[in-house]
Amino acid sequence: MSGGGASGGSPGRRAPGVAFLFLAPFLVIYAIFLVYPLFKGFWISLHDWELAGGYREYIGFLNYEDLWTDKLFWRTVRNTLYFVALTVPTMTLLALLLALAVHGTGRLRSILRSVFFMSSVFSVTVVTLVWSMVLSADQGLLVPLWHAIGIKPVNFLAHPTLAMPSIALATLWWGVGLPMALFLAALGQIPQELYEAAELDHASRWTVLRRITLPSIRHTLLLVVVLQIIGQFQIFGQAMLMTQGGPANKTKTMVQYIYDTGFRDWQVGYASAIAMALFLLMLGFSMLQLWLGRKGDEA
Amino acid sequence: MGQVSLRSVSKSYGSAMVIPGVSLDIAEGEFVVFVGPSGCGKSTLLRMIAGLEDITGGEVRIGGKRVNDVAARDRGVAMVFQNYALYPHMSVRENMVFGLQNLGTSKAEIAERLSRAVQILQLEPYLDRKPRALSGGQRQRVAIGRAIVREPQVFLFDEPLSNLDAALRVQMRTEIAKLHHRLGATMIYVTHDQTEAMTMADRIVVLRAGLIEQVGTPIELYERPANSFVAGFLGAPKINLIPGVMTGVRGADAAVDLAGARVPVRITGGAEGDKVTLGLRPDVLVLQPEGPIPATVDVVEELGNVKLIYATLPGGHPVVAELRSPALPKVGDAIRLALGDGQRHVFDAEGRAITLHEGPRA
Repeated sequence: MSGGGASGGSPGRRAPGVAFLFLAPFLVIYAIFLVYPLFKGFWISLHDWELAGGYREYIGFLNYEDLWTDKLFWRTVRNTLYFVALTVPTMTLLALLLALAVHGTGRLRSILRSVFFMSSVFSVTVVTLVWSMVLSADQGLLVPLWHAIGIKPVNFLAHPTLAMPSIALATLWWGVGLPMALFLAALGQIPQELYEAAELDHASRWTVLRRITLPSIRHTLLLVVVLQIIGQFQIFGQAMLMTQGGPANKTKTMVQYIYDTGFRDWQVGYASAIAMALFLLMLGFSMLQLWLGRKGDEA
Repeated sequence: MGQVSLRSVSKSYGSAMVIPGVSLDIAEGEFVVFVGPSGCGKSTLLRMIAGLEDITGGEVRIGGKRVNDVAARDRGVAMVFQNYALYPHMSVRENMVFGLQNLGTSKAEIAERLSRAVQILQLEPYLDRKPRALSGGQRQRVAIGRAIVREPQVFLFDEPLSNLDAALRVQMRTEIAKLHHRLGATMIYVTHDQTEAMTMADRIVVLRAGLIEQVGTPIELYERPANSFVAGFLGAPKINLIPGVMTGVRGADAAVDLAGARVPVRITGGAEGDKVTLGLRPDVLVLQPEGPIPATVDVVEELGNVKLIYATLPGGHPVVAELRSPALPKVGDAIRLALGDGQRHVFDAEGRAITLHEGPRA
């Protein structure tokens, strides 16, 4: 824009400083708590850096080279991906089904909405304690059931195949409330008239779900999936408290490996390298989801 | 096929009775407009015919068949909603054929019906657009098109033009009227706009508080309103309803005292000294230097072909006169009004018409 064109151009263009001033509170906090730690983390990952004491030696990408050949690291990556695969689709589907079931008016529905949401307010300690008790092979809630059908009680949390699904089950029970609430909010936004028009258009319940409801909440669906991916990749508390990563590292997750490496073994540099890998994984999957979602929008 | 009959149809929500009982017969091919103020139950009544609201009592018949317990989809009706209710993620084409697809109609049949509706409503250029890329008027046309392709027995319109601007409303009004002429289908149309009712309807049903106040052709309702509510609801500018006292009752002849002037009226009943309301359409009042009714001018509105004079009578009652004379009084002028040709309506203390109409019914 030419200097003389006072009539053209938006006020923002004429005074970019003012715009930055308004953005400043956010930008400052964003920079201090997100951008700086990210780069600091990357910087640390380029060092042999011990938690205590002052031992710090720049080693370039050596941590990443080690990571590449670290069998335990790949095991935790596989475990984490397995957990994400177990929880994200199930959680999304379950939350959607629950929301569809309890959406609408009526006392029973409103009570059920609160009931399903209630588990979300518990802390991870409570949730894992409850589920450890339910799944326990000694006095667990399911033990009488096994006895009744004449099977030896299963120790879910010590079982190499069942341990991770058990943690996923506890996670589903714990975390289904928030995505359900998001779906409920989205469902509430769909105009009732669309359903009335669909009724007059002879749409079956399945057609209504497929052609009216799901397309109307697709942005929320995308949001839920991305939030779930980000959340479930960071699985730590449940696995740490229920199985401590066992049996035989079958439930050891990336965050637990970061924790062990950084805070038990004091290898903060190496832990940061794992954290970077986790960050890239989460970023990649989230971007993929957003890209898929945008592609759907353009179609 | 397309006749609709309501027998003592009532609706209540819990203990709140919104429609105490409505009986009405709508002939096949008729264009009936339900009109009334907000909350009069006109939309609820329409939705009960559509099957979108349960019927608390009475009976609804469509095409001679009792439909109280028939699902909305099976009643053979199509509805055009106030907010269009177009499926936002479907194209215009998909919106229009959605119902036919659900019915399993053959592709050839769908294509034929679609092309007919598209041609009637001139929707060709928009077929592949999403509703959000259309203007309000175009969306409304799509909503009407969606109804047309279904070839229903009865079209139901729920205030379809209320979201459009004034110019577009007039245009769509004519389009719907033309459409009715062309399709010859039964149409029931809900509006709170008396102009829409007057211009489109074969018959108007005036509703108040869930009850029918009067049913008739637009001209019948305009010329022979059954009560002061109907008189006040139809006609623009609004009829002047001026309280007065009946004097000089002799048979059908009587007079109503109006600001010192005696206005001769013809009545079907009533006694000397009864409190009545005189109803004078604005075009009945004329400006006359020696006229019997004095008034003070408050506002003058020039509408081109006519002028509206808002004035106050000596008793403080406001009146409006519709004048065609070139000479105009100014605000604050003391003027004198006289009564020209045209019906002088008289309503009793309960608002019921007691006007004696000369000649055959309109």
